[in-house]
Amino acid sequence: MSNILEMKQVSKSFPGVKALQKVDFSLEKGEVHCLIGANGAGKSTLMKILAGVYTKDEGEILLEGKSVAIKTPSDSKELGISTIYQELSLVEELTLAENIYLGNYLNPNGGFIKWKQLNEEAKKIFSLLGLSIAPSLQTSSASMGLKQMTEIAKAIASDCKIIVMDEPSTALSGDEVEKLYEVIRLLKGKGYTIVYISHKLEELYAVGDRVTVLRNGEWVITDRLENISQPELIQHITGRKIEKKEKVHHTTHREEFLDVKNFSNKKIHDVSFSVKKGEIVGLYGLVGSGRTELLRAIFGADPIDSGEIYIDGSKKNISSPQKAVDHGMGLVPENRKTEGAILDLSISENAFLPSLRAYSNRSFVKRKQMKAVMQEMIEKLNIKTSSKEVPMRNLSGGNQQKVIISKWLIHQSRLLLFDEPTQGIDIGAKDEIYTIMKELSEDGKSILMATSEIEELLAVCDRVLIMFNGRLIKEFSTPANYKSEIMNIAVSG
Amino acid sequence: MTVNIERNEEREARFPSFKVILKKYNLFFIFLGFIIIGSLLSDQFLSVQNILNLLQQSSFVGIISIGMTFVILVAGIDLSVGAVLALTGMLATLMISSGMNPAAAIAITLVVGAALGFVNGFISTKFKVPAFIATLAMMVSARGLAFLTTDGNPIYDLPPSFTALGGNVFGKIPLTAIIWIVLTIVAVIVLKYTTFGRKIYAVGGNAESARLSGIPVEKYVTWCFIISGTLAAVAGILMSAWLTVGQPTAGTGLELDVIAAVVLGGTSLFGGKGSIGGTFIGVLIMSMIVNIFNLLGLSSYYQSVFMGVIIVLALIMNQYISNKK
Ligand SMILES: Nc1ncnc2c1ncn2[C@@H]1O[C@H](COP(=O)(O)OP(=O)(O)OP(=O)(O)O)[C@@H](O)[C@H]1O
Ligand SMILES: [Mg+2]
Repeated sequence: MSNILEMKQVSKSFPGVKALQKVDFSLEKGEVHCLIGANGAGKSTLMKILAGVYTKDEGEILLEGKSVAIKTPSDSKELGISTIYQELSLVEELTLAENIYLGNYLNPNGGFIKWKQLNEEAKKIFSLLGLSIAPSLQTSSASMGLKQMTEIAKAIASDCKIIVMDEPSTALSGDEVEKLYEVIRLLKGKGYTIVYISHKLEELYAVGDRVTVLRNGEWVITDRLENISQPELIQHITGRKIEKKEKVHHTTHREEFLDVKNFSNKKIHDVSFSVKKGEIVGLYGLVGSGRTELLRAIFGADPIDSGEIYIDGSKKNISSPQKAVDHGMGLVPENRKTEGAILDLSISENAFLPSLRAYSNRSFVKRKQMKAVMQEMIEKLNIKTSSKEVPMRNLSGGNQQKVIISKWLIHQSRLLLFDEPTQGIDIGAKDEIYTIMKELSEDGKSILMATSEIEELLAVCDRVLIMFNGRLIKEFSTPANYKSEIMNIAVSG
Repeated sequence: MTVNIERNEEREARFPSFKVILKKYNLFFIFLGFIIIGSLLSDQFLSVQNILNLLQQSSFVGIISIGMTFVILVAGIDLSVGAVLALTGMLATLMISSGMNPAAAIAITLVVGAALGFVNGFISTKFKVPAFIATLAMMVSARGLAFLTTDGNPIYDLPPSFTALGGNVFGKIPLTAIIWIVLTIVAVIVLKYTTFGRKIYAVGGNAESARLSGIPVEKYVTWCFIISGTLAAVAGILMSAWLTVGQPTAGTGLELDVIAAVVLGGTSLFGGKGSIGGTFIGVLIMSMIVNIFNLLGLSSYYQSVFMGVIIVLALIMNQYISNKK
């Protein structure tokens, strides 16, 4: 097969970081090429060079054998390369159709918009993807899955040959991911070449033809997926072997820490449950089943209409996140870019945000002490950054997530509310986070975790609660034995 | 496998319920409320003459508010509009009173307004100076220049061919009001039906994704400032024609009325959300408050106090209605 694209010896540095060093990357026409590596390995950077967001320091890019210069996003578009960024980038205030044709509105010369044509064309593209969707829907009211499909539709509309998808499955539910696979296969059948970035190795085997692994900004290997096993891939990603750790069950009975009684609001209905000290409780359910809303309500981020909450046996009125934090709770929210991180503040400013009081003396912050603690966190969570003062914005997606987690570790929260805690986190770091969770629980800290990853649920949780349509419908206290039941009940209610 | 990607919102979008309508047009209901209050408090309120006065008084703020809506839609702000109004008013009247053909003078003045807007846009996009600061500097300098043109003296002796712009047509309909309404209609069409307009929403809603979609964000932002500057010049020309005098103090503090009207009209200061129709009603509500006070013969000090209170109340109500599902 012929190479449609070749990137040769590409290097890129940011102040203080060598993000890419002499990386080779090539695409065969019509393949699905997976690009993997740990957080901060340089995957997004390599693709952003292709997209014209960053310019390379060194190296060459050949498209169908001809050397090309890509300096701006428009250059890349004109060459037939379309990128779906790790952070979805649709304009929420516009309709889906408008987002699909955002660049030119089907009307490169400007002037009046042909609304009817715009919607019809968008509809055609959706139906090409096997979807029947009204393209006049406002984007802010679309589900994550639909937004992801709109991104893909946007790529197709731009008349491209190569589609780069940077972690497209991250925020999708199980069946949305299935739909994504379907669409990718369909696109492949139509001759599109696709780059697929993901941290979930099963996904690669489901859709990929070849795989390239990056580590620390360097190329490690490119091979056909059938020639390479999952453990081998892990070894290439991390540079070491990772053994699957079995969950050690701590069945010791402990006192209750959190007791939620009859919680109700618009999205959740009459939810009651409790979490013991040192217990890790999983929340499982479809996207939209109310997991996020439950966590937010407990944390005081959304108001409740009725219900009571007891902490350490005494009734508390948690009407704001501030109160929740004062009572020892911490929330790692679902959407790190809009809720979890303040992108223009530095890593340490983000990490110390809830703990400033503890790290200050009569309003003066204890810089030295903070530095030491931050350093400890960076090592513990393996956060890849050139310094503690780097703005969050410059970190790779997975590393941002780690900083958000470190925020509550520093705060020494007694109850951690995790909403998809490992989204976008690489395999090595995931294991580290599971280890940290277990350490926390041995310390007597409690964890309530919403996750869509069944393996994660089974690997770390002592008990699993299943939500459906805003209600708690079932509980499993030895979840490992009930994998298929858990999955079935979550879907069918 | 069933995919619940297609959701109920779609159905809701096609068959809006009463609550949705209330939510969508809440500003209009507030507007109606003021009309009812006005007509209860004073029987002159709904007289033809009073309505025409109201339109006349609204038109200057109204014209500038159109430009301000563009700027705020791209998450900017333009504090210089009042000063630009004064400077361009002085410039036009200076040229005309020294014998220049009014049409030529008006054309030159409009170009100057556009150029001042361009400077605002250029400085804030190219040098990444926040629009608040860039236009604050412009506000101070333009006001200074307005005074410098005549050492602070007003300019009289304007020919009737020019002052007619501030007069009435078809008997008693104020021309400035007609111009305002026409400009409003044009702006509605531009924002809603042209690629230019929709790209402005895109830039304001999410500048980064607009950029990554190949939209030259800085260019669009600059265009919004040019529109704002030009419309400030239109208002400057019309106001001096209406007053039949060029005043270097004209439009002092006007920028705040304009911003208040735009925000009252539902445009988000964060960009990407808002409409010219909303701004139009926002301007009318503000003028109606002044008008009701005048009809009741209350002093302008009360007016200021109540204006502030009412703006906040209206915004709170707006927020309350739109948050209620
Ligand atoms: N704009 C930037 N300024 C400074 N450093 C940057 C910038 N963008 C990326 N980096 C650094 O470059 C390195 C590679 O980042 P990149 O985003 O490519 O990683 P990634 O492989 O996509 O990781 P993830 O799986 O977490 O998304 C990281 O160390 C990151 O901190
Ligand atoms: Mg990345």
